[in-house]
Amino acid sequence: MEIEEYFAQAVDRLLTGESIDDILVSYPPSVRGELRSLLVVVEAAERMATVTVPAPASLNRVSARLLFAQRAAELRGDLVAVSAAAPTAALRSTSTATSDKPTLWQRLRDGWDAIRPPAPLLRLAPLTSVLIIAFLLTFTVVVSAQESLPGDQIYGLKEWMFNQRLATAPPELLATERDIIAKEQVDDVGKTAAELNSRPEASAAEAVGTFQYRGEDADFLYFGDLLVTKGYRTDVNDPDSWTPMSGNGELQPGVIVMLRYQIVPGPMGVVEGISYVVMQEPPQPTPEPTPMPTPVRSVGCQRTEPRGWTAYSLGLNETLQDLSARSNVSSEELRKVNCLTNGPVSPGTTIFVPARIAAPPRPLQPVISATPVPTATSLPPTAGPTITPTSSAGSTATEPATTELPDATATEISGQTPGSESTASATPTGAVATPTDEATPLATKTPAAPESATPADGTDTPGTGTATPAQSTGTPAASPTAGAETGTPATETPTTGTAAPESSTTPSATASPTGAIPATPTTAPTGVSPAATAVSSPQATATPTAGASSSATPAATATSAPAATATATAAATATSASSAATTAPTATKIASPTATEVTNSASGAAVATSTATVAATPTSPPPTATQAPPPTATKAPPPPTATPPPPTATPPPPPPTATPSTETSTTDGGESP
Amino acid sequence: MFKGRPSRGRNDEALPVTEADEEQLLAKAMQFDDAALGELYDRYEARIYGYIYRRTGDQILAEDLTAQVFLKMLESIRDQKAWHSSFSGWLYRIAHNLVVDTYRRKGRHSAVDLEDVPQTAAESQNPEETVEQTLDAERLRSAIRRLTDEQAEVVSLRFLEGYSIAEVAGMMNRTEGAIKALQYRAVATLRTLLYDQML
Repeated sequence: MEIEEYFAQAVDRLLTGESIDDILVSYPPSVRGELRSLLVVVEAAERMATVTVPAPASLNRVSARLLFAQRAAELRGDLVAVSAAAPTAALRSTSTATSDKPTLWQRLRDGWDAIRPPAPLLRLAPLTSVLIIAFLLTFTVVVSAQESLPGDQIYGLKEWMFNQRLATAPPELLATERDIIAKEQVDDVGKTAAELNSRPEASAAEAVGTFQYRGEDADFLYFGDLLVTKGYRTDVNDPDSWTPMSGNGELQPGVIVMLRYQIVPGPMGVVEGISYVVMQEPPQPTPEPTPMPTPVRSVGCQRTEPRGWTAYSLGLNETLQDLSARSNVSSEELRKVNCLTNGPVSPGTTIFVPARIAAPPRPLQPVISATPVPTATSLPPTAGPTITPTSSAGSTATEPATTELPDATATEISGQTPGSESTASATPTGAVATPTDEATPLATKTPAAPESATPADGTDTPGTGTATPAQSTGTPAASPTAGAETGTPATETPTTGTAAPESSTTPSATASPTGAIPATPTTAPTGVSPAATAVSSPQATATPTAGASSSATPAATATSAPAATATATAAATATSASSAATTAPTATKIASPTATEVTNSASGAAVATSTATVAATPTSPPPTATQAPPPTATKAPPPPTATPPPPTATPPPPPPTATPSTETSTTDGGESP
Repeated sequence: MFKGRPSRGRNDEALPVTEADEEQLLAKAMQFDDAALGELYDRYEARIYGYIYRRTGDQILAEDLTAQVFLKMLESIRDQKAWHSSFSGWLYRIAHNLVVDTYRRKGRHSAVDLEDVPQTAAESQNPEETVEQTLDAERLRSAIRRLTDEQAEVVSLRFLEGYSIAEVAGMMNRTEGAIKALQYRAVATLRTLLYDQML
């Protein structure tokens, strides 16, 4: 027996009320599983079948029954007609066979049956018809109104349409729309007047319209483009029936009035005014919107240009903090002098700033001097680089030698203040500050309070720099012989991306002082660089646009003394470049004595760590990068991978005892151009 | 547990008419006899309505489609396309086609689909138990709509309407063996559809 037969039997037994288990006992075990699963489905179907079927609605049932009976009667009628026609046709088969043709009514009905929509759509037929009729009526009325002229009954609708056009017109197009409507009204009046002129027996046509009153002269009032007499004739043919126009409201130019007028045969464009009602006063001048707080001139404050200051137009992305950093004038003082309140200052605002910073910052121009030439050899050697990490404002460097910075030399650029917007644009290219005999204030500005970074959690805190001032007081033990190698090494502070240009005219070891972090070179007594560099970014943010963040700590410094030594660079420079938003994303690791790791990672680009060391001897071995492990850092920054290239020029050999400061920067990544 | 039920198709509302009586009735109906048509309408209207309601679960739709079934019956008589063997089977076929057309117009997914029905016991170990717990009318209707026309008709007539194998064979003009095989394949397909939804 096949499974179909087993199943049919099992189903019959199931329908009689037997349980599935009882049924399955009667079948071979090999088919029990199959039968069980099938019977479960059947059982479920049977359960569904036992659901009580609700009785159909009585009304619907009766109406369906009637519909059925009606349709049956129609078909029976057709059948009878066909049956009746058949014998007749048979009788007249010799002459007419046309009697079999359905009547016109039958054909129409059959045609309707053929195209009759399904019932649901048929139910919507009345509504659809009503909508179509309403649409046609509306369309007809609107077209008629648009064609109407003053004096017609339906012209009021046209006036209403005019008003709707005005009401829905955008404010900036309201005047234009009003002019257009005024012209249309004048045209309508002209057409009416022309029609009246053509029919001398015609009486005046009276109409009402909404106009803008524009003024008057001796004879007429001007409503829109319409000339309106100041009175009207009650009898057009009687000149003595002149009646002054009445009015409600004061006519002032600009008011909107509802004018009742009559058009009489005569000159076109002139109507006789009957009455008017002022509908709307002329628009009052709206007060100017409250200025935004950005024009932040203090009320009652007199701006006076202090001596030595000059007007300066704030550039794009420039903030008061930037200027403050560059001018050594606090932002509060800038605000006070310029009568500025708190709040952002819009770019382009002209403010007074110290004259020395009036020139807008130039874009960072990396200068690589691969062949350092001691340019200041004429300067007498001094006692050596004065490394005063906190006193860079007044310190000047008479740096005779250029500092060769490999491409890893970077310029740190960072925001001025933690809150300031970072406009840092570090160029991880070698930016070599060419020492001159005088340091500009910009280059020697030392922040008052060096900040120390303790990014314990691996993140930079804005405004947190790293500094190692503890060792910054050391001076190079050796006296430079290759030239006067004095400077303020490693007075490195981040700027807003303008450090490099200035640094080219200032001692290379100094960056713009706007940053609050001095990078302090340290001098190791032994001449090797235990480390001493602090380069940090106040921003120290991890975003590529956040600017630079770099730090040189004693722990994570790479020193390449020979390069600097070869160039007889006395000044210990520490310039750390971090990435700028526009130049490249950076990945900067900051290792401070207390920080485990600070990472700015964008694309793993550059890690610029600058160190200012006063260590290398002129005869020191080839450039090497030495990294001292941080005392407390659990994770050191990535080892410097860039080694300053050896100088190509051979500067005058420094004396063996010279321990010029060496700036080394390490760039990790492909940021070097 | 299902306790069984009598076969509705034969015992429900069908009048105890003999086959000869129905033949005479149908013959008169073919001539649009008022009484015959009314008799047929009254005899099958409740069955067709119940059949459509069980297939759709929608009372209004069932009323509408029931009316259409009998109007189509009239049109078919006029067009000489009426039944040839089983009038009741032919009438059920009209109802079945209307149901199918209705859901085809609505779109398969406008109705409650198997995926839309929440599953309540999908974690059950025993598939049979799972079926028992999760099957409900909507899921079953949806599954039946996925069967072929013949399978759906057999399942409906056998398990929803309660006709016997022989009756279904007569209504569908097939042999009993063919109906048994069709029944087996239909239930097996239903099982597959339902199980697939529960997995």
